[in-house]
Amino acid sequence: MTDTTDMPGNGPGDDGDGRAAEYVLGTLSLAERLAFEAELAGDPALRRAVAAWSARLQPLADSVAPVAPPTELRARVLAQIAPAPAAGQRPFSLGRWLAWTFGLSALAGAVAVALVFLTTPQPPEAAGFAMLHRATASNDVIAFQIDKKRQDMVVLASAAAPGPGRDYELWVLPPNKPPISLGIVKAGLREERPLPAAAAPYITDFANLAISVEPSGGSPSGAPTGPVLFTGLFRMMDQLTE
Amino acid sequence: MTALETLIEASAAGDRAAFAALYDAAAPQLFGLAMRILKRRDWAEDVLQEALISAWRNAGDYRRELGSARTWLTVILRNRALDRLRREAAARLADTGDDLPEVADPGPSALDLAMAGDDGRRLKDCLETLEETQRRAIVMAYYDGLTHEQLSARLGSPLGTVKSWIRRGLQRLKGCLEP
Repeated sequence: MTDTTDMPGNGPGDDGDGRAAEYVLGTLSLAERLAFEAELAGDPALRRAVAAWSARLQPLADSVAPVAPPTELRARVLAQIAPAPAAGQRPFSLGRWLAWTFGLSALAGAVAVALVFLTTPQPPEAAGFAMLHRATASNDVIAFQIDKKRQDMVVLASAAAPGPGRDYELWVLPPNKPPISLGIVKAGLREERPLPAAAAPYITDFANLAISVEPSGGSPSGAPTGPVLFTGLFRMMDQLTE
Repeated sequence: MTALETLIEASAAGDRAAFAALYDAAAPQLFGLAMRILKRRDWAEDVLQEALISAWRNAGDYRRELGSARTWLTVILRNRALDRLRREAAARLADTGDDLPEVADPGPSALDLAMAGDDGRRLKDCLETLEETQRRAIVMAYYDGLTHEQLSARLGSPLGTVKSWIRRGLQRLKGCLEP
């Protein structure tokens, strides 16, 4: 099979395979990368083209000499995949939790929290909250709260916008179940809205929340398709012992 | 040694020991690549950490039929590294009006690359069939994470010319690898 003839959009000006090759090689600007990733989400043929190019160019990656990462990096990575301790198992320390969830010093974390809560009008009787942050040190933070009746949620996104034609989508990640959407999150806005009923039972102490980048309007498939930029743990207020 | 594929699948099921073994098996190669692309140890450490945590969280998405575990991990690492480069370039552009990295690294020519294994030798042979300009642009793009615009500045050639070197070079590479 000469697959150049039946690749997606192989006409002049829309060479899907050629763009997949450039995407994998890495020559696209950030905006072009994001636009291409949005397209990838809805185009299985394009995803196959990307997989094929990734495999073709893999020997370039393999030919680089390995370098031992610093030993403390291993401990940092393994600590971040640690299962959340069961509530009540050990006294909750705000400082430790902030250090853990922010990957920053507790101080920097506390400053970020203070900033968000100072600028966030408290919903009536917040029952619990989560702070979602990027994997790297960044001032971007997305705060999430629910009320005591578990009916309403508040999201505040103090973060750069995800790029043209893209939206942030918030998810709860129940253990051993597919992620459940909590809806689109607009950068730079504070929004109060009903908590989706399907998600409510999973918003529990130490629930994992994540923000992925999706095509405008949200994931077309109902599951996260784009890169996950922000993650955080939900905490119930009544479980905080310090 | 357990295959990386098996370790990723075990990680998807929540097996942290398997993930630790995956780290030990894969991290040095990924870190070498991150250092090569980013040229800065602090960035490379951040990106390696992000990539591995992303691998843990997304292990359930891995499918053997879509490619090898090595390639899957490389894609995650390179995407993170490229995002980092693009973000840093945008910040630098905002600060100084100059989006070119300060470090100019000529990089090795494709002919110097130590490409082992059948796939590596085939890719190397095919790279050698390209014109020097095409090969150089492709190899620099891969290892230095340069955009078309940055390559054009680095190579001192017009943007359209550089784009065409890359497009045609990649097409020829594909034809050579899959005759």
